[in-house]
Amino acid sequence: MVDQDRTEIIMSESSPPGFLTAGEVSRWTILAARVKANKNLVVGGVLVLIFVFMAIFAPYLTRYDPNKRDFSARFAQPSMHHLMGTDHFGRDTFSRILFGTRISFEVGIVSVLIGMIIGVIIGAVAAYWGGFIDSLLMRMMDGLLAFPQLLLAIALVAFMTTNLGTVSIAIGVVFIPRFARVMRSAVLVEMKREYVEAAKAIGQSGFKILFRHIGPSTISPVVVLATLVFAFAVLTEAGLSFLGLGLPPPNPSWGRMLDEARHYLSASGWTSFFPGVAISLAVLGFNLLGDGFRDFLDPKMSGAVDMGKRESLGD
Amino acid sequence: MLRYITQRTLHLIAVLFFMSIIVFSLIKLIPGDPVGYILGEQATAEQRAMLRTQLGLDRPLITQYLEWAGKAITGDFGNSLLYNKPVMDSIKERLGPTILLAFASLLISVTLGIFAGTLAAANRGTWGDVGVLLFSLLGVSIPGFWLGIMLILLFALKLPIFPSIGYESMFTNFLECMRHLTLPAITLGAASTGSIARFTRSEMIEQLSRDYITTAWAKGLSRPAVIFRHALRNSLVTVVTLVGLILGTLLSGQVIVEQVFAWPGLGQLIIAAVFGRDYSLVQAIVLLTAVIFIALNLLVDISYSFLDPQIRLGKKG
Repeated sequence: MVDQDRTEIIMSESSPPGFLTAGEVSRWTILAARVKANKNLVVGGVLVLIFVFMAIFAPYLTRYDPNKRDFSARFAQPSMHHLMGTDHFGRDTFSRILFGTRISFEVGIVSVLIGMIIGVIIGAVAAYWGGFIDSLLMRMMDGLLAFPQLLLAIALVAFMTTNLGTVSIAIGVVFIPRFARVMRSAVLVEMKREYVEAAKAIGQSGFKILFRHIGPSTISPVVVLATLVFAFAVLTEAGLSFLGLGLPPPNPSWGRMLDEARHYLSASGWTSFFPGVAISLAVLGFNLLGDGFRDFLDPKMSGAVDMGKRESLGD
Repeated sequence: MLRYITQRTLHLIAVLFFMSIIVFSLIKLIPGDPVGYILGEQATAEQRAMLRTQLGLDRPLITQYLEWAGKAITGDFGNSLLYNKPVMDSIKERLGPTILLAFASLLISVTLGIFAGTLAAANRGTWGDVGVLLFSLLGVSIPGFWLGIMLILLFALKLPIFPSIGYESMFTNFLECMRHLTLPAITLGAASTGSIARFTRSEMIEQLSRDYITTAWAKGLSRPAVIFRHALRNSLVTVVTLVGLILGTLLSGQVIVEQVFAWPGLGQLIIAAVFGRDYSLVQAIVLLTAVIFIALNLLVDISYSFLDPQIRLGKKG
């Protein structure tokens, strides 16, 4: 389920982007054509937008309260009244999935931000200052990376009281080494460029060089990784909730819905079916969007991001 | 070669050191007084004091760590609060089912993944190729717990071919064991099958465009000979490295799949330990799994270096 090094695997496979030769056409036409030629970007983007829409407008898309129990309507089949049927408490599955989107996205956004901010700082510091600091930081990252991802998240929530914050921290910590590695290799590539040497020559400070000059060129790989990792955050949140280690009930988390529904499989398979479809489509959407971003932002990037893996094999 | 192995081992020791610090520090995340938290309200002062000494909380932090790490190296993680016996004993009991399941799903994903990836690359652009790509994408997107539930629904409830949950020892009843193993192994192997297929495919496509393949065609070799004996053989060198990473996926996925199928392995043990607030057991399982994971990865890397002379001679990729 949880793909240890999905990012690296994806990064190592490059597909040709939809490049057009610039003739008399305007920039926007070229841009539009490139987006259109990038199927991953389009399909992934549409899927993600649908879920964003669901998360924002959840209360307006359904008549039912996601936590309202109605024992007269237990295990209702999908119908016009209940689009996706009801569960063992007679709660409307469609409403619970809509509101579950919010939880998935909240945890996803917070955990990716945590992993990204800390990881990017560590990676940049390690690459820029090098030497002992680099070795120390990267060995620490290797230590974090050596834990199977879900297990590390489980271990972290096990020792904390579970709420939105702690679940996001537990998932975010798992991402730190990934961002650190990608950032480190991106900065290392940039530091060999002449403009960095020029900036050093005119006596600019390390921080200024790092933020103003190198920083902008590292945005692409970080954005790609953030999107791919978001898919994993959704999956992990669902996994933790499924194991009973996510947000406490009655929060309508997709994973918890599945865990509750599976005990009533013979009474109603539908209740188990839809939450899984929601998780799969959301994860698929972010995976495709990440792949699409990668091809779109920088066709040559696959090599740069892959470097993280090569180095870890080498030293 | 020897230098490479020494280097890798030293690196591993550094990594292990940081891992142990992370696992050790977990206990500091417990809000408030860990002893009160673990034992609950009714515990007597005597019990509290005993646990405090057992956890070593009355000594300075560095002493605590050194003592804990020193014992951990010898496999002594103290007593399990939940099962009232040494932590290692509880772990040993669960190792068998976990290894069996991991091995079965690894076997499924490696054979199926390499086979599908090779076929896709050899028939690039056909419906079969698209199908393999689609399957691999779904494999990594569909959560294991949902796939497992759906398989139970289809192949245990609607069509009663396999038992829905449970475990049977290989040594008491081999056939029953295989029947119980089938659905969990497929569930756990699905995601990795997708990754391996995708990776094999892209590696094969690269190999098939090389000059030696043109030579092989020109020599008049048959299609299977070119694809399997030449291209696949060279692709496998890289695919081997992926197997190490797949192990991490399997170890993570295991927790969830064991929960779905009530498979009595380490995954279920750690969940029980988390709910039972048996922190020594949680720490031991996490550390042990991670050590197994990196040790296996080291083996994979070393075997990889045997296969690839560039690394053996100290040149990086």
